[in-house]
Amino acid sequence: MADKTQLLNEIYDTSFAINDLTLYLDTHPDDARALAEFHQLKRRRKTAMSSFEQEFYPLTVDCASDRENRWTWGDTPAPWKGEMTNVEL
Amino acid sequence: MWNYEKRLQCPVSIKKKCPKTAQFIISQYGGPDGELSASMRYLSQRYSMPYNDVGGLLTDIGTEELAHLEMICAIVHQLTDGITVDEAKTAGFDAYYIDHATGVWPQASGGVPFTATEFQSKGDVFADLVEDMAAEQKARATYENILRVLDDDDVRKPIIFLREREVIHFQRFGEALECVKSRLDSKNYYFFNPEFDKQMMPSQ
Repeated sequence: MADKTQLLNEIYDTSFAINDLTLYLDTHPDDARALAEFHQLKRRRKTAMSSFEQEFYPLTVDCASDRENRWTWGDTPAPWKGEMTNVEL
Repeated sequence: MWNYEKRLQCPVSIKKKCPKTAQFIISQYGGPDGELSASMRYLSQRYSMPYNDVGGLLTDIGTEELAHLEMICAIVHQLTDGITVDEAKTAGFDAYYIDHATGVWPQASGGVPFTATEFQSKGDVFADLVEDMAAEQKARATYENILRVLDDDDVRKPIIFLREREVIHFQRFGEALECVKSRLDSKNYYFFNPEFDKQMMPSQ
């Protein structure tokens, strides 16, 4: 089984880098290096999101109930409760 | 439209309750330079923005601000969830408690409710972008005021993150403003509004 904290860290890191790069690319659309980095991060995030959803619970509704016949979207802890204690950004 | 991702942009995990701290941090939810007014400002301004890429930037930053108000609300919630009646009597939090118990409601730390008069959507690209840059500076200054009176690292960490984002957004809005200027008719050196007076926008 994959390590939950490690996967979450990967999701938080890549997602934040993608957020930040998106704003940068909005004002620097011709920066090839930033664009290459964006693509690489996008791949990493996709892999981590999909592994996390398979092993634990869905973070987006797209992946809810993929493997089960019951509604799993409600299994995900509320983000504002502070349960992701070991995740650092 | 929007899709929800069930996680915060930056984790918030606070071990020590403190209603007093919640009472002043709530200003960054519903106060004059808070995240709610930031998101509503950018998401409102984008409709009449005459440049597609600047409208896109307003959407992306406005969306990030929604994630920021969620972090602020998570901080307020975790600082107050499960407090005792005696703790609710804490000076500063007592008045809030009477109206909302530990519910999260958008107000300034001084008790003034959130109001749309805190931001503008002027329909003028220069007025709007300059306001956006000022708004980011005011929010940064508020986060610095908060950091000066905070000593709990669990609360400081997400606040430091939010402060840094204000700096980045200010930078991006500044770039958008320069970009808009470069697209004006060369005779439009007093920045007549290309958003309404479309003839001032020769490059489109």
